[in-house]
Amino acid sequence: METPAGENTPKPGQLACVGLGMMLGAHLGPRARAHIEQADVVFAAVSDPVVELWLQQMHRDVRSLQPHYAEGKPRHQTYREMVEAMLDEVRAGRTVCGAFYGHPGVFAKVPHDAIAQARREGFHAHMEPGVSAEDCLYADLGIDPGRVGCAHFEASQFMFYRRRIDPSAYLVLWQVGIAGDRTYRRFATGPEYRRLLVERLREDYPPDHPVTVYEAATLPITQPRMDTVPLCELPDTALHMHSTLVVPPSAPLQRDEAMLARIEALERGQTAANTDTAETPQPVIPAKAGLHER
Amino acid sequence: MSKIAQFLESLGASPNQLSGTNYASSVESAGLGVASRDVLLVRDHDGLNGLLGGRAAMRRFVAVPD
Repeated sequence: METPAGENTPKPGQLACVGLGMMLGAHLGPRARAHIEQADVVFAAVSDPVVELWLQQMHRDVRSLQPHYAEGKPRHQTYREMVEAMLDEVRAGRTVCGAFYGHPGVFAKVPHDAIAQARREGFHAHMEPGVSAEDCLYADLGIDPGRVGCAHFEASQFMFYRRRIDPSAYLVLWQVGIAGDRTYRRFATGPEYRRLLVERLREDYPPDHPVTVYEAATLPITQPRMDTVPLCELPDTALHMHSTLVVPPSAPLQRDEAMLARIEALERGQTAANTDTAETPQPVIPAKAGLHER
Repeated sequence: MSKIAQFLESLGASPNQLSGTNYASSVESAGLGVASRDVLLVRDHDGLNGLLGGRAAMRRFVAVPD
């Protein structure tokens, strides 16, 4: 690909988007820290003002992306400006680090767009993963997504489109505090929007089904929020931009007897074909309640 | 700020400092100012932010559904 400077001359400008993790001091990995410390300039989009101040201690030139936000400003425009702010410095030949809360590639358009754009322009760009809110959620709520499965949706998208819910698995709805927003300009929606969300969930869950509002802790001195309420009370429950709704299973796993029979037939066929083999692997059939624990 | 930042970072990296009397003694021995010590002892997030001059409000990324 032709580069802006012509030829294939490597450019000194480069971009790394790194995750700080969710909690100050607890989750920052050595590679992410090295990117921050060795950058010429660091752009920051973090979730807590104290975390932003902490980051400023790590580098002399930390530029917050917060000023790009404004009430009523289209979100797409805000994010485009953030990407351009970072890319301008990359184009100027600088080593740029974007430091983002959590994981820079999870529910974060700006790091993905910035990396893609930098690569299109011939610059080296890299994403360094971090501990996400999802990771903290599993740890704090004691959920193993491998046990009965776990589906994740962005709450508004979940409302705008017909999605197939499996009530035998966990359901996690992100950004539930802004569920139903179609303006892409607001930072919260109200109880009336959440009533519609509950109406949708009521197609698959009873009204008294316990659901948990989760917010990861961002400072070591604070605790995560883990408030469990009946589904029907969700509209009147206080929610924030960073609130996540966790809906536990309401039904047991349903065995697919037809599929199990077909697998068993396959195994019988393999056993017959391996009659010359002394030791044939024995099939393991899932238990009724779910898969065997590791 | 740097002293508080270092202290918070050490708390984040060493959770045994956060429990009961360990926490109180960690705060007391961190050599912080009285105001910082007081907000930390009661784990007052907003108070700490106000003391440090952090932003009053932080926006977070919102994934666009379409």
